[in-house]
Amino acid sequence: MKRFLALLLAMVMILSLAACGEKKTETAPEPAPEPKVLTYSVYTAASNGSALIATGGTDGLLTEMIAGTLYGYLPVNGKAIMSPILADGEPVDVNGDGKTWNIKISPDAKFSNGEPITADTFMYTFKMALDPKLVLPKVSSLCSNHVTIKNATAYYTQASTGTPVAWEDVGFKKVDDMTIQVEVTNKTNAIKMMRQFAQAGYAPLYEPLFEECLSADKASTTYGSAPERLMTAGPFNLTNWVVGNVREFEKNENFIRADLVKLDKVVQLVVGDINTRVQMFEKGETMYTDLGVDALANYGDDPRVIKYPGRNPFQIEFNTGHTTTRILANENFRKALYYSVNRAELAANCGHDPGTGVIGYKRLIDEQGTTFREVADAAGYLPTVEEAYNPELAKQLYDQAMKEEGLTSLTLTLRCASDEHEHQLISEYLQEKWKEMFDLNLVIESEPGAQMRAKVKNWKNNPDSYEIAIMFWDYGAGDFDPITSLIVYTTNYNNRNAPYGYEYIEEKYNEAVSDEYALDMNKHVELAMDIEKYMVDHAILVPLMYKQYYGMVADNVILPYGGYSLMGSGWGFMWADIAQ
Amino acid sequence: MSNRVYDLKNLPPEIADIPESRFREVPKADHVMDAEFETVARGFFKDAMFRLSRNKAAVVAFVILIALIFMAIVGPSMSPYSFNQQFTEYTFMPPRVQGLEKIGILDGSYTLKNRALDSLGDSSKYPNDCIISYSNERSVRGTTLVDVKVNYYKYVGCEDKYFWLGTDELGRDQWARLWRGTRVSLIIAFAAVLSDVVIGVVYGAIAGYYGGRLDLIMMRICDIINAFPNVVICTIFILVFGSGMRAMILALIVRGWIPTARMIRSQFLRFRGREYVMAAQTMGVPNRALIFRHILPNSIGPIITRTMIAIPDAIFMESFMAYIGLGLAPPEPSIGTLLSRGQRVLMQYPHLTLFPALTISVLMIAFNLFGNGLRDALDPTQRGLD
Repeated sequence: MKRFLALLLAMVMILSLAACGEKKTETAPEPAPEPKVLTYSVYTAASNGSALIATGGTDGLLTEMIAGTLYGYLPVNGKAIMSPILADGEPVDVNGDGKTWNIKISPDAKFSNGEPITADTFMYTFKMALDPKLVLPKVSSLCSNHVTIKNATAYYTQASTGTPVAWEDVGFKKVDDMTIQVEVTNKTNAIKMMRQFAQAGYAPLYEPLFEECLSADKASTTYGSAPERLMTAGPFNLTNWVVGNVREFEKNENFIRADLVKLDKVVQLVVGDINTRVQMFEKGETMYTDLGVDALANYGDDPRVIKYPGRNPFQIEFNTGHTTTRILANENFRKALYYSVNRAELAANCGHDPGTGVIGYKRLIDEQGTTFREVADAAGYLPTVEEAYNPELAKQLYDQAMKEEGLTSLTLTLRCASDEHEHQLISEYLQEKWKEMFDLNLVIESEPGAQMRAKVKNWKNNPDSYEIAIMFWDYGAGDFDPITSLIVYTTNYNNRNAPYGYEYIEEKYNEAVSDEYALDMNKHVELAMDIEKYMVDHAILVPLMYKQYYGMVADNVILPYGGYSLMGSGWGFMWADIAQ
Repeated sequence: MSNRVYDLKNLPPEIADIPESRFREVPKADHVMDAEFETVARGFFKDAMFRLSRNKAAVVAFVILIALIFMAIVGPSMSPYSFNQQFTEYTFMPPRVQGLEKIGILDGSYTLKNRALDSLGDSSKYPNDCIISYSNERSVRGTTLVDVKVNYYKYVGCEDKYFWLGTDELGRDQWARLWRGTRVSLIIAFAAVLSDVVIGVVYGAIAGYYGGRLDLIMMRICDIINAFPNVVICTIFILVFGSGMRAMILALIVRGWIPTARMIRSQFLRFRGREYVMAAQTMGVPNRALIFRHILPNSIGPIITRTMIAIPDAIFMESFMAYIGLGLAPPEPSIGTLLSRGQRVLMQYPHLTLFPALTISVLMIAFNLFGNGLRDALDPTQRGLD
């Protein structure tokens, strides 16, 4: 019996061992794919994670990764196309007058915690965004940018104006649980409405968390100051944020267009020095770096280099209202300076594209990506870069202007930013060249950019706040209408650089934004060309070169566009993929 | 002749009656004189100079300083190009020096990185047989890239030119700019430090001499001014006066005089109770004379030492401010502005950083060594130890 039991036990053991062996021969499950992590460097720390509250110039690199908006640019066949995101379809013109629009919210719109986004969510967001006690940094552009929301500005400024405005009078209404209605002051079209609500500042706020972050008097908030004080509905969630050091994002699986998000994780390393950023890229520690113009020399034929355009030209502004230096108001003098600059040489030294026009590359006239610059250059109303450098004509105009003003010698002060490399190069280049050409003594006043711009803008309070200055306009992303870039040269724009007030420009601009032509892009192009021609003919300012940006992308990063994008690199990273 | 002993109180008459006229002094030795000094007597400053000359590091530092100051005066005119002359077609030229180029040093060669191998035969891209060699062949996204070493002067078509320290982003001669910048940095430093000394001496002397409540108030004012960070002060001055030498010198003076004032005050506290000062006071010497004629000369040593140590501090501060963009108005260079510009292109054109960095380093070390030597030489406690 014992032998039998021992035999039985041995057989059981053999069988169990055999069974184990058999298991071993089964096909092993396929290893999980490597998570797709994109690491790149950014150059400044962010102030806040919420686009509504953020104040830094480069905070968009953080906020656009996490902001879910009703509309936005999505990658379609290598292009950035304005599309519904949290919205269900395009806005609908309710009365046919272009002033009342219904926006339907997608039933699939959710916060990252899975809670649904409804009309109530947006009504709460709008109310908080415009709150007259909070007066959040981005409130101005939310009230009036591509469209002007009815009574929105009056509502948020009621404390300062002293005119009470009820929330019910503001142009936001709830139609049903999934539909909101927006009233605007001027006739507009669907694409402008979509651009208005593509602003990251309109990303929905999660009410319980926002309320928790409000101070007791509801006049300030800590919302967006840390990952746990943010609730997102965008492509990524902010999971780790060490201010001034690192920002980590993980894919938001509840994002309505999660199908378009290819990356599992994004890491942004904050590295201030550009040489360090380039070195980190070279060592493989990052997969993208911006390239300074000077660094380009080291990457002459490198196919990894990408280039994308800035929005506007560097230009010289004249304070024509200066009370003592009256020559600034002399057209011949300004034209002399216009024709005195060898833009090709200057731009080559600065790494940008020479330009003779006022409107930059980043102005589109259709959804196919045709730029205003292409159409305008083909029209041929501007001098070419070669034609715009005419030392003989410049000298002749200068002498004439000096004679007209009764001057024999001239000293001018040029304001420029000490912390912006191009400003330094332009100012020193012009100082030498104008001395040679005109015997003009150019004194360079160099100070940090913010202070320099504040002094230039102060011409209203102090008419002699500056004589001439190097300026560069930078507008918000997503605004591609060429006519909107010209508002800064009209008296409609309060923060303009110089007195301006040219009747021709005012008239043409006001015609473009009138109800009759507000939506007519062909007319906008025509009027923008008229204005640009007038500005160059009369040398209202001296455009020098169109800004360009350069970067370098690792071999395995697949961007949603073919190496050149009007949207810039930050947008591309959201929709990038990594080759395994 | 035998020796006899007499009792002076009971001298014999033949001795006691000897007339006084017959006596004369008789020295013990042949002649009497004071002992001779083995060394020549020296005054305080002569002794200090002697001791300074025995300090080899200080002497070398002094020679270097003289050489640098000489170059700051003469250097810019040694170059055929002015510090502000732009050659926009010859930007970022590498250094090239006649003679040295033949032995492969500062020969105007430069390595162009990441160039397509296919294009090396293209004479429109690489004219005048400028290619010396190429290396580091690799494939990037289907393109074969190499690093090409070229004679950069042939590459840009200016083989007849020599820029000894290369050129900057506007094609300006770095040699002329470096020495011009050194001159500007030195002028700013000397002007600021001399003003610091004058203000500090007067202020510290008054506080230390009169003491009491006045001293208390004056020193608290020092504390308050000293509490402002230099960067803030410089920014305010540049905003008010505009960028330039005047603003920089004034900004450096605002706080710079305080250490001198404190040091002078302590010297006065030490000397004002001395007997000779009290004696002078008793004799009716006026306060101004007491301060400047009787007490202040005791502080000359520390003042000189303080000045020599303050100069490199001022140079460093000016360079730092220029480096962070709060420097002189262009096109005037200073070592700081050259470093600031050079740092931007450090990875591509290191020579634009290297030479200004070497100059400021040598200048700082030389000033510090010389200052230390002076401090030791002027230290009265060290007197006679050599």
